[in-house]
Amino acid sequence: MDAIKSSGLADVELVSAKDVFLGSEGEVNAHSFETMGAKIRARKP
Amino acid sequence: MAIQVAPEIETLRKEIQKKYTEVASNPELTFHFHHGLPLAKILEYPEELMAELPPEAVESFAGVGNPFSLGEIAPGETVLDIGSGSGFDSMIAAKMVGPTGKVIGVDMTDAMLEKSRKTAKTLGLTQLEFKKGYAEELPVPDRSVDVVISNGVINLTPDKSASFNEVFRVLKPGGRLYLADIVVYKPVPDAVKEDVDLWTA
Repeated sequence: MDAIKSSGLADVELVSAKDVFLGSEGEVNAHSFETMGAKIRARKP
Repeated sequence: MAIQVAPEIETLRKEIQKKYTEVASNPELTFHFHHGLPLAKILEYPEELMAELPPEAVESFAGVGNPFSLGEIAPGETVLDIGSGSGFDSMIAAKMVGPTGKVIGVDMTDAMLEKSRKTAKTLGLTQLEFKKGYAEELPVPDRSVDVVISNGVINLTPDKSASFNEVFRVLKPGGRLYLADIVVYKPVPDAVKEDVDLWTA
């Protein structure tokens, strides 16, 4: 999120996050770091 | 974003290209992440969007969210898809902008570019083009894009700040970013950050 804001983009919003690795082969590694698929919205002023 | 310390950039890019060439060429295989139609269903893409696309457009899809759920894309707009892969999101965007709009898909993996170009041609989507490039060096003019979409890609780039600076550069004033990507909520040890297999998985 910091990298997005630092670019100059505004209204940066984490809209939602979902466990997209559930049931995949990478589930254990993903869960080790609480890895989620996130949806983020922003706007150029 | 997810990981801040990178292996050597060219090494990382080559490993990612190798992984996604497999996804493009052999979508029937199992990977560390979900892909294809089952993934699109997990991510709740509307059935009516997927129904308009042929199997080749969907089978190698490897995203982490549905960027189209973040806002509208209007007919006539210009959309940039960073890390367009097999072209799944680009083709959906192309249908949204229609023949008066434009969609540019950028990807660094030749096998994905070849596959997406072939499918787009089959669909007659003349408003859609695919270019080879990197998120940190987008082959797109300044202030030329209404909407940037990206799906599960920027987490793979070695320099996230450069990638988002490029998003800012190419967007028109008032332009929007609809981003689906990986976030981690626990600290990642440096040894893990340097593990190329984990980056590409």
